[in-house]
Amino acid sequence: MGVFSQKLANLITGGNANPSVRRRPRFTRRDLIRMESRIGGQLFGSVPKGHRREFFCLDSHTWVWYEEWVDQATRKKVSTTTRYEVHSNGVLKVQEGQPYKFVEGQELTNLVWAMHLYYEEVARNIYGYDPSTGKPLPVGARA
Amino acid sequence: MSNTLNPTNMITLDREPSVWQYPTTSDLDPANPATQARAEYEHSLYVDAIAQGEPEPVNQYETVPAANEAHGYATSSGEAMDPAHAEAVVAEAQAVVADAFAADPDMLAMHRANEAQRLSHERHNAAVAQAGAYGPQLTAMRNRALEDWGAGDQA
Repeated sequence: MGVFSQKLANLITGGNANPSVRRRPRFTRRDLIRMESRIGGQLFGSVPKGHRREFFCLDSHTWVWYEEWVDQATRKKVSTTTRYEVHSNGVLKVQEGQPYKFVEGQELTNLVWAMHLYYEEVARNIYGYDPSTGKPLPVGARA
Repeated sequence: MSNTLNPTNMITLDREPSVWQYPTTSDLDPANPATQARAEYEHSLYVDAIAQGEPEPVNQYETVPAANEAHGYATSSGEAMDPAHAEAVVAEAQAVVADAFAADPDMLAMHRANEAQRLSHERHNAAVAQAGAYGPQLTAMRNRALEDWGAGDQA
């Protein structure tokens, strides 16, 4: 790449266009969670039209499911947030206006399966780790 | 009521509390001359007994694991059990249980329900343990990413 074209690229991208020294964009924790939740929202099948779904790991023991849609009758935006808290004796489901309850049976199986898929996808495609070994993936194998 | 064991719970009722005394720390101290004298006296009794043809006592706690390792089974006295005999004992026990269940279908149903519940609890616990493993790993990856190419911990 010529000096001029490199300077032009720097002007456009706002950085050094040489891939070997180009810095990654700087992310906040919220940015990372947003990226993760895009993956998480697709784990439970197709999202109905007009719905927005997010599913993400908030911290080491909390998971969040957020679903938002427009109510056809009232034309108002409706949302529901479910928080799953992982305790040593069970996974507690916390929903606004609902009594707390431990997730059990098939629901627990489905939730753990979703967490597993989330972990696999996020580790591999966002952070570049092999989910089975926890070691960094070779650069060519990353998404 | 507390389940905590304490020495008074462990005193058997057929002993007179005034007779039964716990060894004191000094009794167990190898440097205590009285302890040394008692140990030497007990050892001399043991040596005399062996010299007079008494069989050496079996240390069950040492023999049982060795027998288990060799044969997979051991009698309560620590002797290794012949595997064929052990299988016969197990088969007999299973037959007794099967007869009992056949005679009492309610008991069989209860046993099956208990077994199903036990398996259900095991599955539940395994699922919860698995769920608990992902969060720490993900947050660790996220923290490493923030260190490597993050802009600090801004929310």
